[in-house]
Formats: sequence, C-alpha cells, structure tokens
Amino acid sequence: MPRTRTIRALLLAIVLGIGASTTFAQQSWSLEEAAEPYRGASLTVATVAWQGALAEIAADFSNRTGISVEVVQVPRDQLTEKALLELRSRGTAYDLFAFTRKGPFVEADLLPSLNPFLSDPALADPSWRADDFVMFPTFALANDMETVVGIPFGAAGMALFYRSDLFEDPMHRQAFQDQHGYELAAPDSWTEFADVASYFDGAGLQSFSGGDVVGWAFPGARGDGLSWFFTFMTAGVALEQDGVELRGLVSEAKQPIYEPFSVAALELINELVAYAQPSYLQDNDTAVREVFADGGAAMVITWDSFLGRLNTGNIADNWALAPIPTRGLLGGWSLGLNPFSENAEAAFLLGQFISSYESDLYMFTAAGRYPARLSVYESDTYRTLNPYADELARAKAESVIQVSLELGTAPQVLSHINDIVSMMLSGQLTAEAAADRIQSGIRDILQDEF
Amino acid sequence: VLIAPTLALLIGLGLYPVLRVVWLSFYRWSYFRSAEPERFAGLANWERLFGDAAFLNSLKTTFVFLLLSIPAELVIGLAFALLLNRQLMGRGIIRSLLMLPMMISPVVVALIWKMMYQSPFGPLNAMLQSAGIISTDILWLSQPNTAMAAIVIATVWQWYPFSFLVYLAGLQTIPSEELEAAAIDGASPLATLRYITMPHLASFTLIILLVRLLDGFKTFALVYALTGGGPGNATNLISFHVYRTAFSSFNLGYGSTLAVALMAVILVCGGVVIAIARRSQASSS
Repeated sequence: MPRTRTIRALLLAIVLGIGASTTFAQQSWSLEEAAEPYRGASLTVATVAWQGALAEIAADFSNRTGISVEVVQVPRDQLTEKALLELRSRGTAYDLFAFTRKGPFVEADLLPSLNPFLSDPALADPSWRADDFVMFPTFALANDMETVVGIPFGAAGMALFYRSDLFEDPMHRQAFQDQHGYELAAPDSWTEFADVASYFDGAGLQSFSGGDVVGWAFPGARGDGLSWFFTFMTAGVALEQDGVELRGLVSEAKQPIYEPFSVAALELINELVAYAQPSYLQDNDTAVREVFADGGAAMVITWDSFLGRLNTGNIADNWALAPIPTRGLLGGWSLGLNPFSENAEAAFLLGQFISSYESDLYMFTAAGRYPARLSVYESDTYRTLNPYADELARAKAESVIQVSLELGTAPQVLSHINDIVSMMLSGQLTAEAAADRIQSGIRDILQDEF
Repeated sequence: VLIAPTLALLIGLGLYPVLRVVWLSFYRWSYFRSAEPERFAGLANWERLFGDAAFLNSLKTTFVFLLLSIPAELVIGLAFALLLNRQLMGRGIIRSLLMLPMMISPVVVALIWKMMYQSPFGPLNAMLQSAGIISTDILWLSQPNTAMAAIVIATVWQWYPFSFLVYLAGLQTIPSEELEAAAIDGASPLATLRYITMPHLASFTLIILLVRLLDGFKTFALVYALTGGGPGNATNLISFHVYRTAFSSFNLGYGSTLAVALMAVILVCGGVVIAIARRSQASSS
C-alpha cells in the first residue's frame, strides 16, 4: 500500500510539475497579469514566526499586484486552536494560515483542494513544481495522495549542536580517550552520546557567564519537545535493534507506534537526563538554546533554525553540528487556504508567491527559516550562506517524520505523549509504566479516531 | 411582565450555557471531526470520567492546592487586618498598597512570580540564600512539590488582600465596649483575640472561605502561564485539565463532562460551607 501511494504521489508530482511546465512553459505567465482581476483585494496571512521577512515578501507581492496583505503572528502552540476555531465558525480572519499537522484540518474538511487552482493556467505559475519541495506528499497532500491541500512553507530538521572548543581541546580529547577508550567526537550512537554527556557533565567546566557546564541541554518541560524526543529516540532504538525502515511506519501509524521499543527509549531518556541541566523540567526548546548559547552545555539537540542564534555572543566561534545519533526529526510548515476566504484566488497567488524560489531563499537569508524547496538547498547562494549545508542535508536525509501527521487526532496523540513522558521525568511513573500508558492512551485515541 | 426582559436575559446568558454544557456532556464530539455534536453517547463520557486517572489526579491536586492556599490567605489576611486596624501613621497608604496584588491580572502575577522563581537570577532564591534559609538554589518550577508550592505562594500573594479586606471590615464591626471591657478585666491580647475577636470574625471567615473556595477551583491563568500543569501533572488543576481536554484536544463532548463534574464538585463544596455557615449562625443566635 505505501508503495502504491508513493507511486500515486509521484504521478501527481509529474502531473503538477512537469505537466504544468510543458503545457505552459512556452506561454508567458506573469504574477501581475494573473493578479489583475483581484487588484484591490485584502488578504491576511497567519504565521507562527518570521513575521518581519514574510511581511517584506508580502509587501513585494502587494506592490506588484495591488493586493494588500497583512501578516499576523500567532503563538506557535495556539495556532491549531485559533485556526480551527476560526475556520469552524466559517470565519475569514485568515485567508492563508500556517499549519504543521495537516491531519486535524484534513479530517475536519477545512483544507480545500488546491488542484483547481494549480490546473488553472491563469493562476498557476508554470515554474511552481511540486517535485521541487521537500517531502511534498507528507506536508502538502491529503491522505488520498492526490489532493494538494497545502503550500510547503519551510522544512525544519533537528540536529546535534556541540561545543567545538571543548571537543577539540587536546586535554579533553586525551582525558576522554583514557576514560572511554575511543576518540572524542560528535556521537554516532546513544551509547556514545551518554559517554560524551557524562564526561562533560563531570568535568567541572564553566560556561561563558560562569555557571556550570552540563553534558547536554534537554527541553524537559511539559510540551512538544517531549514528544519529539520520544519519537526520534524510539525510532532510533527500533533502528538500532531491528534495522527496520521507519519512514512509512511513522507516517502510516494506525497502530501504537514502536510498541516494543518505547520502554527502551524512555529508559534511555531517564538515563540521559542525569547529565542534563538541573532545571530541565522547566526548560523548553527556547530555554535550552539559551543554555547552549551561554556555553552551559556541551551538546544540545534542537531545530536547525538555531543556527541564526549561534552567530552572536561567545558561542559564535565555538560550536559545530552533526546529525542526531541514529535518527533525527523532520518537521515542516505548510500554508493552508481558508475554505471560506472571499479572496481564494488572490490567496492562492500569494501562497504561490511565498513559496516561489526567490521567496523561499529570502526567508532563509532574512529570517533563518529553512527552505521548503530542494532547488534552494542545492543553490550556490544557499550553500555559500550556510557552511553547514552538507551536515544539515545529511541530518535531514536521516530523519524520521513527526508522528502521525495525517491523523486527525495527531494533537491528542502528541499531547498524550508529552504528558506521560513529563510524568515519568518528574518521578511519577517508571519507564515501563509510562510506556504502557503511552501505548494504551494512543490505542484509545486511535480507537476513537477510526 | 416588567421583569420578563431581565428574566429572559438571565436565562439566556446564565442558564442556557449551563444547560447546553450538561446536554453536551452526554454526546461524543470531537471538534476536529465535526462542527456539531456527533452522536448521543449516553453515559459513556460519565463512565470514562470515573475511571479517568488524569481527572481524579487533577481533582486531588486541586484539593491539595486549596488546602494549602486558603488557610494561608486567611492567616496572612487576618494578621494584616489586625495590624492595620490600629492607629498607625500612613495606615491608608499601607492599606492601599496591600490591596495591589488583588488588582493585578493573574497573567501578570504569573509573569512576576516566574521572574521571582527563576534560577539562578531570581530574587527569591537570592533572598532565601542571604537569609541563610537555603544554601543552593531551589528550582521552584522543576520539581512536583516545589512547583505546587510556587503556585500556592503566587496565589496566596495575589489573594490574601481579599481576606485582609473582609477581616478589616469585620474587625470594625466588633463593639468597642466589648474590647474595652476585656482591657479593663486585664485580658491579654491573645485572650482578646481568642474570646472576642475570632468569634466575631467567624461569619466573615466563612464568607472568605466560600468565595475563595469557589474561586480557587477556577484557578487557571497562573497554572497556564507559570507551569503549564507540570512537571508531570503536579500542578494540573481541574480547571486547566478541563481547558486542555476541550480546547487543546478539542474533545468537546468529554470536556463538557469534565466541566459539569467540576461544577458539581464546586456546588457540593459550596453547599457544605453554606451549611456550616447556617449552623454556626443558628448556634450563635
């Protein structure tokens, strides 16, 4: 079945991409002409970050089309809630909105098909090719793998960031070699990760501001971070033990995920937090980035957008990055069209413009948001601007996708995982009991779903 | 006829939403799946409620929170009321200043206390260390017990002015003859407090207890902004749990069941306090 869906997705990509380009390539398509009928319309885009850069792109769009655009920023953890409530009440506050989990919106029938727009020669930019986007089926297609419901808007990957000054210090290299019998380097496995974390945690080092240096900075506050860690660590354990192919397994999850491996993953998390910052239970992803930026941790696992923060302060010349041991996490944002928008065509044109090659590249250069287009990743401009392009490409290529993107109940599944992992970390559950509760809870949620 | 519009308004705004939530508590309704209630579920939501470990835990956590915070508010409020019931220089200003926390939005209170609890730069740890009470920083929001204490402290700080205000009003109703008679008889301040002041303040205590109990069950913003219900579910108070079920998981059917259950718990607790108040009134008269 997954193979059939992949083939159908590829066929669709061919239809949308190559088909469109061959049909219309010879014709001259221009945004100005396409937007002429909608001149004077007003649009609103809801985003979760990057408001400034997006507003600049929107201003460019407005100048060229006469369509005014307002960019509003909604807190990341409230976007699904706000968008769902808005759309359910047939509201038109947002014409385009960013989403990261398509499942709830697809299930609620709140993401209209973009196929009619993409096949309309008056609206479709012939250079807009579905096969140029990272994981287009995952982030933009409905479960039928034929209906385009999203416009890709950035693809983020997680990576391991580490203090290169410490890792390259001859004294530490020698001491680590003596202690563990192998060379100090970015860890390739969780066993190595634990060795490195424990070594630096006990080394008595000081951060740039004078605090203690811990082995790694861990976002243990009740929130999304815990389900991220659970997902890729469970996947990693599964991979180390069985060598199973994970991509399909995660996105096709109709059963509790990785059941045999979750206990081992939770035990691993329990073991590793011993080398994390003492405040890990109240620190989210933003907080751990600051711990690392202050030099307070030898390692941190976070999204690649962290690169933008690392160019300033004492950390600037003292870090490097590598893929996460075994498997990382790949996430992404898409733009959805409000089915009740009074300016759907204009909104589609704006979405298409935001996801154009130029805009995609600009969002990286101006705001550090990682591109959605493969052609941008391959461009000289991107590779010149990002010296870590190869490492990040490797990290992303080896990633698993966020759990159950296409399930309507994805938010419940993730929230459930967050709660249970948090209970385990605060000593309220053992790893075994937590794994059992995670699985039974997911079973209940999925039973409700199907 | 004249009161009909007011009555209609009261029913429309007050009674209808309550009845609607009660009605929804018998329905299966995921807002992701449907804009309308999906199907009648009978007692399924209620059956789930009584076996729902997360609900029972949030109920227990809420009672712990109330048992810790309300007595502290009563004691601190009473202490300040006794202190400021005397002739002091700047009494008016001090009274006004003491009222300030109650006037601040709970979200702002949460942010203030988030900064207070911060480690290593938060002033609370610094003060405790300089007073020699602790030797290393307490990670207030990181451990289940201290996170609950953190919520309680912030709540007490915000709401002791309420009991202060009510007690102050109560103190001013005590007949001065009784206090003078006690003084002439040579009663100590403690004896005066025990045998004259406290009996007079009993009904005021019950008023504070009732208001704060009803309000305490609804504590939301502090939890939302300070701990998010964590770590684990250590501060997952019932109102926050209802919110997450209904508006994060969008399980509006079961969320309604939780809301009705919360309403029932509040009614029972409020009823108990009112019954005690009536009994004490009857015995004193």
